Amino acid sequence: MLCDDVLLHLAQTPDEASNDFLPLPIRHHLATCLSCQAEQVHYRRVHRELQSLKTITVLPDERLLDDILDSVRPPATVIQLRPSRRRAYVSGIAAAATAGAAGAIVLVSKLSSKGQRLAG
Amino acid sequence: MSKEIDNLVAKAKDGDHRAFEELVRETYVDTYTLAFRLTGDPEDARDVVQEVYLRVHKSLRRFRGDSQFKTWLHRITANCASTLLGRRHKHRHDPMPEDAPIADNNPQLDPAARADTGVLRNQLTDALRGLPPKLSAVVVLRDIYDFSHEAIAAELGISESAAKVRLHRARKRLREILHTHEDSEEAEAHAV
Repeated sequence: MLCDDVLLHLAQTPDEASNDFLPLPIRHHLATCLSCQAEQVHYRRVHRELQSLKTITVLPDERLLDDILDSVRPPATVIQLRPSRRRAYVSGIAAAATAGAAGAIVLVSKLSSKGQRLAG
Repeated sequence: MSKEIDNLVAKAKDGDHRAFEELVRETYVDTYTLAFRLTGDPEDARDVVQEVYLRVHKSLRRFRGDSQFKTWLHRITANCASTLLGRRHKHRHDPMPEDAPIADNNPQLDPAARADTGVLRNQLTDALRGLPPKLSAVVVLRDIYDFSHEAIAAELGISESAAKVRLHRARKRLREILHTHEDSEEAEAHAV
């Protein structure tokens, strides 16, 4: 059996922990060929490292979550949000109007007190 | 964790949008990681992840729970990434042939640092990125995410035998790249 034939098997099945699954001629070859044994060790090592990548995560940028949630947000949720915004707008306008009215009252009262003084 | 996700899936299937949002929060980093490993590009991975959750949102009611939710999610991610890579390949003018030699311009040659397994992991990550997408997708799905050959074939739209051939080529390439690193290091050590 040639080393190339053995290497083909090793590349196909590096995830197997033992050699029992391998065909007998390959097992015999592996038992005596140091070069193929070394190759098997390398393949298994690469496989182990690949498996270890399972626990490693790649962090996305912070905006991704919001973008996903925005894209799947149902229209009903958008409508639900509107009244709260509307309430905020109305409150803002009401506050501005109140401030304006209060200012006008102060102005008028000042003017009227000035007029009374002039008249006297 | 799995039970929590199962609960969220059940609620989301019943139309609980908050549960769906929570499901996204719990799984999107994992989904992004797979998408990034398959596409090798942060922007492409972003696009894939958004497409994945749109698909999940549309078809969650059809999820029967035969497999784990995460497995289902991984399969959708693989499918979306394959679609994106296929589209990109169509528009690309200089496709990388599968047998093109892979050059690593930044090999780690420090024997002391080599002792650290993290170095091998980094080399492996770089080597994965250097593989043509067709090959890296198969090895990522099989060797990191434990997809069966059948599932890989289904999600990538190829035959099972093609999946096996690509897997064999990908492992061989990875092995060669890492072997080259080791040879360089040995030569360096002998020179010193």
